[in-house]
Amino acid sequence: MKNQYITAILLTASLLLGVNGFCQSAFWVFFTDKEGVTFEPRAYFHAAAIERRIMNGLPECDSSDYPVREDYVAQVSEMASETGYASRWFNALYIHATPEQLSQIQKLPFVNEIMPVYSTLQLAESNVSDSLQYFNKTHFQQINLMGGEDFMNRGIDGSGIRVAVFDAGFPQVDVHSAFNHIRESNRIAETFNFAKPKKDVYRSNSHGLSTLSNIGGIFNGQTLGLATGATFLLAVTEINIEILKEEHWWIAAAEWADKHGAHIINSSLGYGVDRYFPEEMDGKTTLITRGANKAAGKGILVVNSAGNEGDDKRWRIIGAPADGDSVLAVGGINPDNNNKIDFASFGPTPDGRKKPNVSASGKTMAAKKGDVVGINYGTSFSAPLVAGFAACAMQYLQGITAMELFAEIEQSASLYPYFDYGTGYGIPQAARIFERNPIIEETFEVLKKDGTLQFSILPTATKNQRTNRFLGEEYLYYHLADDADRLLHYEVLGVYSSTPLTIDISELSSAAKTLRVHYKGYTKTISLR
Amino acid sequence: MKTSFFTTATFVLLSFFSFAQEPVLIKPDTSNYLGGSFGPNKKHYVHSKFSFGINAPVDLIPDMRYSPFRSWNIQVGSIYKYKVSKYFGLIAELALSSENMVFNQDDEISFSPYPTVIGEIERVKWFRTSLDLQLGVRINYQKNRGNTLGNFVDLGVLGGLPLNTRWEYTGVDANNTDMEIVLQRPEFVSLSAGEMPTALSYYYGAYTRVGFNKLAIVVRAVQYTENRWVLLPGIEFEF
Repeated sequence: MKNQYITAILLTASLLLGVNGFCQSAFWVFFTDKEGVTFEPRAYFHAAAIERRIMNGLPECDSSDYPVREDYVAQVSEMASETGYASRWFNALYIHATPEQLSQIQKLPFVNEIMPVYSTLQLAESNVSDSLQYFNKTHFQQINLMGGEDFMNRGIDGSGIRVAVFDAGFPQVDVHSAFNHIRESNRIAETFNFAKPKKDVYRSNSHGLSTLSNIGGIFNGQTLGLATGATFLLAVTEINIEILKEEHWWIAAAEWADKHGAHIINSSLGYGVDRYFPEEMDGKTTLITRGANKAAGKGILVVNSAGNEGDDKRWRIIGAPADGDSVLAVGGINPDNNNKIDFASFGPTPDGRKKPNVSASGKTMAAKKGDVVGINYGTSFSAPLVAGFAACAMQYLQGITAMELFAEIEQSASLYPYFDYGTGYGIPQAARIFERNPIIEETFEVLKKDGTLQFSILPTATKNQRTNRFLGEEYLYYHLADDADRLLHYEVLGVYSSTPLTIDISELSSAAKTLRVHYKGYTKTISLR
Repeated sequence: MKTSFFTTATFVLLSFFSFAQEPVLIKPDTSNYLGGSFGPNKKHYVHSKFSFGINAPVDLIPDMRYSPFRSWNIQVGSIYKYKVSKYFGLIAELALSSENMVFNQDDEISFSPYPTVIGEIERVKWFRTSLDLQLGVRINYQKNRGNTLGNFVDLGVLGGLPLNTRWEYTGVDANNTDMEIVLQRPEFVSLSAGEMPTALSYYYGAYTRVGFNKLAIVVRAVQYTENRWVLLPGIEFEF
């Protein structure tokens, strides 16, 4: 009997130890050089990748595209317990090693730096509700809030754009009717499961099934995402119970997406709470963020969900890689009240950069297992809506570079040039992709009276609807910014009277230098100096 | 820090008094999460725990066979961690614990002396729910652990107050009739017949925990009767 008991304890212990690697940890080993390595870009890259680089004004290749020296990899592999991906971009190898092994590896003359990888267990996020009652309304909202019909009416569907989707699995994408139109025209160009590794991605967590449908799915004639004509590269970079490696799989997938000519990466994944300190979300600490910025440097638009920690008091802010300055971080809107959805993570980054960049509906109708659709909640689903929007914008604005597109999407957003740390510049608007400089009518006026600023709504306040489907219901937005345009305060107000906002200037902090107010498409900037 | 305080205070006051409007979203207070002292690897941290396990074999009742897979323990509670240094911390825990101990008749035993009204004991089941206070030290041995609990070892002492104790004896009497005796709160019952062990109105013990961020193996050693201790190992989830 005692033997049985001891066996049970040992089994449990070995399971736990196996999950976490009791005496060994994960590291990135960075090498000093790539001397003697040769590289032929036209043999390695897909033609679309070369074309994308030319379009972005980049050389066909640079030193970061060259492979890692095989002799370095071989030597370190012999000394480490386990090796993973060798990153060209970072000239680095992912390893598992004991402290003793690590001290030996550190002594190698070609090792430049060793960076530890934090170990945690974390479940891929997926929040699902199956309330049939709201299907049609939700479908309408997720497309309509972006004015997506303007793309659809012009026949713009992301054709010719290659979208890489990084997720935890794409089960039934090979059979689900929401992707019939994609499969029939062979527009799933490449797949790879970095967690296994193998080509089959049609298993595991259905999070990717839903996110992909919000980029370009069609179910029973209803458009779930705008890029129904795009070509897709599907990569599994995460598994439900993570074992250290998911961030390194993400980087491997980014290099793979680059090789296969991706124009856009959609990543509904984020790493922050329970792993990093909030202060580390500064756009330069985590390797995944540096990898995402590197992808942007290769001419790929990286769209990433902001995160669902907005109501988590331990964290609240965006995670990595959404903190990257070249990563389009997408927050969430509650389509039922057009305000920020509670769980969407807030900006800014700890170093004060504006995040999220834009927002989209945080509640979507998306494909689910069993050839059905269901309602999902999360910024995981708002990011793909914007990725689909971006593919359409890229198709329309031919020849545009990734960072120009980044700016176009921000400038097309419903609140632009106003922003706050809840929803960024608001929801991208298709009409503004076609009409770059729409005439914006004033919707309110400012009266200076007895040391106060009194804002009055004008009777003509509905005129701007043509270029802005999202009018934030009857909300008035205002913020106070300092010299560096960092927001000291911001609010969104319900408008229930003709004079919804009065500000007593004498009460304001001396740090407040700029007041911006936005109402129904019109933004007024007032200097408080 | 002072400037930040006055700026925040000013805006709070403005929100209450100066603006006659109805906000639906206000910039959240950032002090809790940015540069604050609360977090898994910061000065202070409070989180919940849940553990369950199968009790270690114990010779609590003479001539009765311990039934391992019916003898379980669960614990649910909260842990406060105070980080003293990178590798060292203090912890205080408050938890509700339950243990169930089951013993069956040994084949070769046909008679058990207690309680005397039951001639032949077939099964003994002891159940106890209590409130535990645990105090200990934490040694974090993972150097790079980000803002996580990391890998750690806890060592500490505990004290428990039984809230509900129930002892059940099942068997047959001299006429081969099924009998069951249930003692509720046996710590307050005095039995003179047989060799009844004495239940405790409070107890103490020690514990250790080996943690891997949100998973841990925990072993508690607690006093169960006056002169018997039990080992309560389990798997624990930190959340």
